[in-house]
Amino acid sequence: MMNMIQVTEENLDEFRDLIPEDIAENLSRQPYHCIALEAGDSDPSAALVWEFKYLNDVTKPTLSRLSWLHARDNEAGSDIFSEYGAIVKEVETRKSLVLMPEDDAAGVTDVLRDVGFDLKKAEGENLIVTVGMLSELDIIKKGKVPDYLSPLESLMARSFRRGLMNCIFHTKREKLEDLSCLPMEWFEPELSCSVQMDDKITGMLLVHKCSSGRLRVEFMSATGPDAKKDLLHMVRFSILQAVSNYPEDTEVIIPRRDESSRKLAGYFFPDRKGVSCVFGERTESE
Amino acid sequence: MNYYGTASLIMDGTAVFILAGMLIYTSLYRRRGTIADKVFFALILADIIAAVSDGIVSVSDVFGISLGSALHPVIYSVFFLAIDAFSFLFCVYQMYRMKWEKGRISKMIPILCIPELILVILLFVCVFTGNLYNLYTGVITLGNISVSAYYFLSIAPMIICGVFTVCVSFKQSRQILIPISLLIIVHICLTVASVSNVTPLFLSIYLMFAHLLIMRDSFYGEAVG
Amino acid sequence: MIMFDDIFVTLTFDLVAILIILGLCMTPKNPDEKNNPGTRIFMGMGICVIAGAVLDIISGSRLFGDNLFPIICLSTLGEITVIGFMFFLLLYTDYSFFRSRDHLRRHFAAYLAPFAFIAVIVIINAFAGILYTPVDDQVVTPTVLYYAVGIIEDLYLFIPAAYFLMCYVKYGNRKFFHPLSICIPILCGVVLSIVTPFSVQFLGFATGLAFLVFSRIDSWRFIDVKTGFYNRAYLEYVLKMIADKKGSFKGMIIADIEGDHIAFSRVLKEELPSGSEVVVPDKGRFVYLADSGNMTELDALASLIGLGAEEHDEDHPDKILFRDAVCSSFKDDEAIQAAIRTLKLRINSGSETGREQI
Repeated sequence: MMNMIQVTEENLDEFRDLIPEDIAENLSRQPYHCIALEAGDSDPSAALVWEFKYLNDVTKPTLSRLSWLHARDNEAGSDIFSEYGAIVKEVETRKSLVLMPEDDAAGVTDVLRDVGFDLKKAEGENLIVTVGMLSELDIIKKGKVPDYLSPLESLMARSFRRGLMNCIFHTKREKLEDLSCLPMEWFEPELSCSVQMDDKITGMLLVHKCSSGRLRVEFMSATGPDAKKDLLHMVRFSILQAVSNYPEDTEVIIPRRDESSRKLAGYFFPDRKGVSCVFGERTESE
Repeated sequence: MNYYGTASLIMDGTAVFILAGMLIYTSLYRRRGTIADKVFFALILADIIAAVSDGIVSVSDVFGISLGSALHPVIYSVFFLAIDAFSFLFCVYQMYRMKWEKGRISKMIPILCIPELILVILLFVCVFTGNLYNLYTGVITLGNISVSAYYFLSIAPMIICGVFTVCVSFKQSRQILIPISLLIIVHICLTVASVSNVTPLFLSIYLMFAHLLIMRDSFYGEAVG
Repeated sequence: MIMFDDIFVTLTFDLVAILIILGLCMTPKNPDEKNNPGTRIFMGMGICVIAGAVLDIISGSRLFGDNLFPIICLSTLGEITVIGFMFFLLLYTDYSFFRSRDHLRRHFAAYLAPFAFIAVIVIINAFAGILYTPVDDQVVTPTVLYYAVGIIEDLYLFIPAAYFLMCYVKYGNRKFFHPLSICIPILCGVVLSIVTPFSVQFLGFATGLAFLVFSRIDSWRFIDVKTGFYNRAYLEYVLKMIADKKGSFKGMIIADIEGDHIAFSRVLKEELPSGSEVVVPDKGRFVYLADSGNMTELDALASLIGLGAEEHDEDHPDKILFRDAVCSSFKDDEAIQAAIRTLKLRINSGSETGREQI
């Protein structure tokens, strides 16, 4: 007998083997959802993690982005997608997207095709570099960190919240769906930093340390009149901190969600490309 | 170089600049449609007419273009009529801005009309008969009295306006009294000194002062709470 | 009495410039602008114009006859006032576009450097004559330093205008600020001073400042003087802006309070993002117009406002008594226009504040 289970923080331990730890830690966040299929013999036969985008934004159509899929066989995959389809239709999701590294998608491409995804190869949006590579960048060799830049650990929680809202409301770029709700503790206090102008925080660089030890840049924005300079100051600061506090082989994930972050990543690492991924779309409702 | 004409041209250009600025930035108020706003708009128009007509005369002086014996008196008439109209309207504008009752305003208007009408009659006599004022020699001859009608016709409306302002402002607000009085005195002195025709520019400065003072009062009057 | 002399014409222009600046002193003061650098920079420009015009009048009146030293001093000080005006204009441009004290502070040295250099050189020249080499009693020849200073002065005259244009192109037209309205009279004044025998630049400067004041006052028709936010007339302006496709909003937070609305306005200035558009249609209601339609973000901001109000009430006797903050987001321009019209209807049918409608 098949049993569809909603996986949350409370029952996550039962499914830790199925879901990578970096993805599992996101289940505490509002936009992330996970369902698992138990097929009577207590070993889950499928698990699906996805993230809703623009769920609370009436100006844009709701999208769903698959983060992880595990399916023992095509039948399990098909069953879990039936349940998934019903859930996303309830919230009027327009489309489902998948962008998974080829290695992660190796065993499930057939499942995805069977359930209606039109798959092709694409370059992943995440650029993965190491702390060692960051230590070789020219940006840390010249210039100094200005006095109006402060690390996250020096900020009070209220100031952090105000500063984050200021940056969010001034940034038109793509950002995390639940950025405004993430607690201050989610971000690395030593690597994350902010810049101030006229007693207001006008720029922030927020880095999260994943469960696996990887570092991921969650938010990078500067909105003041000297935005470009402030951005470079924050990047310099974070790199210097990373170099002094983390081993050289620590991986750093740089998401390139839009054109400006792609340009910035391209500026620092012109020869580096994103991981090879499988990309696909499926229409859920008109 | 014709200094008088060039300087007058620059003054008229500056007046038109300032008036255009006021027209642009007071468009919202004019759309409100209150009588005071309409009178203010009429003041700006009167000053623009004065500046443009004086500008035409200045251009003819600077570039030596003859306006002709028919056009010359017409342009001069337009100029002086515009100043008379300005003087009258400025007094009316002050009455509405100080929120006088309609009855009081209607009693005051005929009283103001009398000196203005006298000036208009004098103007037409000057211009079209030449009996009081010869446009080319610029001299009134009334028996043994020689007075320049040009100066009289320029200054008299502002004297009327100034006397009215002093009488009205003395009770209502000395803040208006001091700058307007200073302006009027300087205007008269510069006109008599005949360095250039400063009248349109000074009229625009009167309007600027009035606009700023009125804005100051309404700014605080419209606060919430 | 007729004076056909360029000096008397120049004196008239200078006198008119002084009168215009004195008249501008009657400009109403926006309480929000009391301590802001823009007001002080503007005063600096006015002082430069008055000082320059007065110096021009003194030098034109030939009070010192043919005594060379006072003439050189007056000329030196006159140059400094003109360059000083341009320096303040550069600062004003910076502050008008960026509205940031810190940005002004950080770039102040760069703005000041050319001005300080010229001022020092011309002052030294007054005593040591370093800009000219006397050939004999009647003739002097300019030195290389004279030409260098001349180039910097000319650049300093035109750089503010170029900087204006650059900011205008890069950052777009700041609402209610029309940089051309100040540039055109100033440039005309400078050009006329060059092509005519009259010194018209101070009249040009004063006219430019008058235009600036007009445009500032024009923007204040929408400002509630007590709180510093927009008044209810701004809602009409917003509707027009949306209809003309000149701007739009995607979200709205309506906060209702029962207590001290001035204190609440201070809390909002702390908690809301910088440059927020907040309308105060009446004492108990504040409407924040947001560029974001994301309800999660709007809710987070609303809770931040609520926390700020609670913290204030804990520490101050003048209570805000925050009641509620309602968030809405809008699919398109029609939806936001409908919401604003509904809000206006509710306001008009509610308590009157006795204010004249614009």
